[in-house]
Amino acid sequence: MTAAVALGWLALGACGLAGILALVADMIAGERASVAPSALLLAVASLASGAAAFVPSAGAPDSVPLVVGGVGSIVFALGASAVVVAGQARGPAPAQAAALIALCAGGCVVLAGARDVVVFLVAAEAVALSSYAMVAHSADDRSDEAALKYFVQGSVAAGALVLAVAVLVGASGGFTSYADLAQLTSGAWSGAASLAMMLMVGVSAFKLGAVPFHSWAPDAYETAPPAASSFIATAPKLAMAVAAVQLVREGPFASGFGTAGFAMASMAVASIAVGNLAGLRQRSYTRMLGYSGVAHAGYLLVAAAVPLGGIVPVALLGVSYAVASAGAFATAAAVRGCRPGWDGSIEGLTGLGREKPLLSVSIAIFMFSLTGIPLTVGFWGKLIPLLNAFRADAGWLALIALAGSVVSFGYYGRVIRAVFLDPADGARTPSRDDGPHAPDAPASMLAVVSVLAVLVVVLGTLPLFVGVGPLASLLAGF
Amino acid sequence: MLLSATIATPLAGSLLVLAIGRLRSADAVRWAALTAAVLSALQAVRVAFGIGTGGLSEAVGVHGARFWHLAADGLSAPLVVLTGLLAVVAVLASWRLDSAPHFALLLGLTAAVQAVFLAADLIAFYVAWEAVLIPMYFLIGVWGHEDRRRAAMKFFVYTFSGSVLMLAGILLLMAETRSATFEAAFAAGLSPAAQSLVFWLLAAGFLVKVPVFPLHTWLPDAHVEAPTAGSVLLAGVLLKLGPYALLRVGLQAAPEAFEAARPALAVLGVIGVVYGAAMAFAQSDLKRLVAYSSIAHMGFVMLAVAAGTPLGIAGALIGMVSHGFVAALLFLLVGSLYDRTGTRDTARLGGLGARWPAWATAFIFAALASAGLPGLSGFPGEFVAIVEGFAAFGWLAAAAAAGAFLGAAYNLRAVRRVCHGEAAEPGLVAEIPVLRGHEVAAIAILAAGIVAVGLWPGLVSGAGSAAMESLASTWAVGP
Repeated sequence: MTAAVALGWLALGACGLAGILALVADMIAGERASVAPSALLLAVASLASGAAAFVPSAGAPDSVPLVVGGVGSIVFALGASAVVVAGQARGPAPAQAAALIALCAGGCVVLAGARDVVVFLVAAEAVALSSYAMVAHSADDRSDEAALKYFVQGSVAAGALVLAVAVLVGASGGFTSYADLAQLTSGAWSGAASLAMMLMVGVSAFKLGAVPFHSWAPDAYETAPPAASSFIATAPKLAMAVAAVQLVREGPFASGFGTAGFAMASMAVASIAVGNLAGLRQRSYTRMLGYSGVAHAGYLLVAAAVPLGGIVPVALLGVSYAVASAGAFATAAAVRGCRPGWDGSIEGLTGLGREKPLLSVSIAIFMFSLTGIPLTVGFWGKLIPLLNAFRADAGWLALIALAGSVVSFGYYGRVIRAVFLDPADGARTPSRDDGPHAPDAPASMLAVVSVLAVLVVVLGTLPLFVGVGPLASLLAGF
Repeated sequence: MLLSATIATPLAGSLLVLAIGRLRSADAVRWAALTAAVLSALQAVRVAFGIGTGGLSEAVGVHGARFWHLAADGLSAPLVVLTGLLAVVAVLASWRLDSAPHFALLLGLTAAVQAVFLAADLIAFYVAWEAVLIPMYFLIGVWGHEDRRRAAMKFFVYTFSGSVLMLAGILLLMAETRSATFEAAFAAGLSPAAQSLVFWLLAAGFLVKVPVFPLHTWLPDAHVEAPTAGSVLLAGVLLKLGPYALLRVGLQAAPEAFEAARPALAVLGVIGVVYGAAMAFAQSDLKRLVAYSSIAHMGFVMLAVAAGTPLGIAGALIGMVSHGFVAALLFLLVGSLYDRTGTRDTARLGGLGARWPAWATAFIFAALASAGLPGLSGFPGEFVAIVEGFAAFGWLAAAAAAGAFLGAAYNLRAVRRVCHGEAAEPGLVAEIPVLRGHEVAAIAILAAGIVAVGLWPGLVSGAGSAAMESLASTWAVGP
């Protein structure tokens, strides 16, 4: 067992412990439970997973179903930040939320490292089950409705996934690992393999929230508690994108990638178009972020459909989306903290720039990053996949993604405009000295938001001086 | 590290000003901003002296895997100095504001513009190009006039759409040449088919920034709504990014496509000259008049760029620097007039020559420079543009010469309406205002620049003759 593998298991162990501790704390202390130990353990998991990227791993074994390095580290870090936000958000039962987040984070790390169809199936369903519960975890009826819709659609996807695995295992006579299956499919590309591939690509697209399988996503992300959304809208998407690339591009279906690539490219175009155009029409901040997620599923599929650069372009784009979007959802929780009467609309953010400069600058940074403006990590996240698209003679895909970015500033820019540019309501003339005495958002929540914003800028600036290479090798992991 | 320091100084100043803003002392913020701006200008001047006859280049970061390549030569150094000086002017122009973020954004904008002029790598160039957008968006949107929010959004959407097409061009260029530094990417050479695609994608971004005729509609709005300091930097340096990028990236990345595009560029330039002058003639809002005159002046620059000869490029460079000084001075004066009277409407003004002679003197000086009076900076650039344009495109340049007449007409008419005659509303300027110290300082810097460039154009173009020769030789074979 190499050191990197040991660190990977250590990280997963810390993550599991975080979930168990949260449950224990909930049992002992009930509603007032502290989630700090769980957050701390997830942070430890993040560090351990990140450290693994710096350990030379001699011939990383395919058999270890884990992802370490940058992707694992970011997944756990997003888990830790979501747990902190959940603990401060005065939502229902923060300890239960923490347990669900830890379970989901563990599932994501296994999913992104899966090299076996059964591991893929189990991990994907672990992520999905904890996500359903988190969406339903809010106190109101709308969230129950969204969770039910998500769950019913998710069950269909789960059934399709089980069918695909059954077809593959049956056709191969009992093999489940990608390597074995690839040997079988490379010789004779059977109808069974085609069916399995079609199902797998569809299921991956569903879990990414790509068009035409996207209808659950805006509902789920809007109505879930912001702390939960900041995790389930981001880390699972990152993990699923990485897993899908390994499964479809390098796994059992590598020899038939042409068809899958075409399907992915078509869904990418549809997602970019639908996500961005629908995003323009949203009034609710979190629902807008939901459609932003649909559009980003499209960009991720562009990165996945271009067969260049291994998992790095997808991982880079996924990480850049996950960090900025998690920050954007966390700001929604923070705004609830300092404006208790906020109705969740974008217009309701008006005048925030004068009241809460730190929070507002963070929102602007997240919005610029989601648009893909330079000096934020979102720029590099989109740059590499698009450059690869041009290299692979798929410039038209890149042009569509670029057009999507321009349109997307229509809604991200509206947030910035509301926060900084629009005047606060007439009666309240803003003045620097006697600003309205709004309550402050909890300090730890502000800390999470600021750390994510700083991360977006640092990761967005660093590549200028060190190139994208170091980021790529951090992300590649094993 | 000189070049990196030229970018880092205003950037550090920007952060420092934000930190000082916590002290809530307006004076501390102002003086810190001014100090940072002066230091940045001194850095810029050091660059100009540092390039000698060749150039400077540097790279920071892990070897072989970075995008932070910078270079300065005779083409970029005058624009770097212009940016440094106008940063000082912009700080002086917003002296009466007490908002730390405003000064921080001005300095941040300066850093971003310097980075565009110094970038020697496609990625660094694009990053800097977009970084210009963010501070300008907030300067217009937060500190602008009544219709600022619409103008800020329009500015952002136009320039962002353009630069996304430019990004597509850059990505295509990088994918074809497999390199990101200017040197390697330009040396690799593209096939003719790829060249014209790359050139026009890039040009889409550049031409929006210039702006040329059908893509210009963001400019009057942005200029009119921007605060004075914003207009100074927007007209003074941001408009220079387009022609500079056309010479630095467009021409060198796709020389054959540039050669094919020269007539089109010349037509766009001449349309800008005539259209801008005619529109300026029709305006009664002084700020809008100056905004349209910018389109006309940039039209001359485009004509000179299209000529593509070493002398033409020198003329374009002189025209850019001159317009930087002249437009900044005009916006500054209109801004200080608006501060005193609350209007920019020429129909409501008049007789300022008698009531406020100091201002009127400066305004007449600026208007004459804008009209292209020999001896002031407006003349050499436009003269060269017409001469070289005539040599390259024949009678097309005659239209530009007619535009120069229109330029004299709208400038002199503005002088007549504002400075001469009877005051239309005598109550408007009741007591004789005094130009404040910071205004005098800013006017002095700009006036000195206008006279210096007017009398000695070689000050701008002298150091760059080698760079211009080599630029011109990339597309034209032979002498």
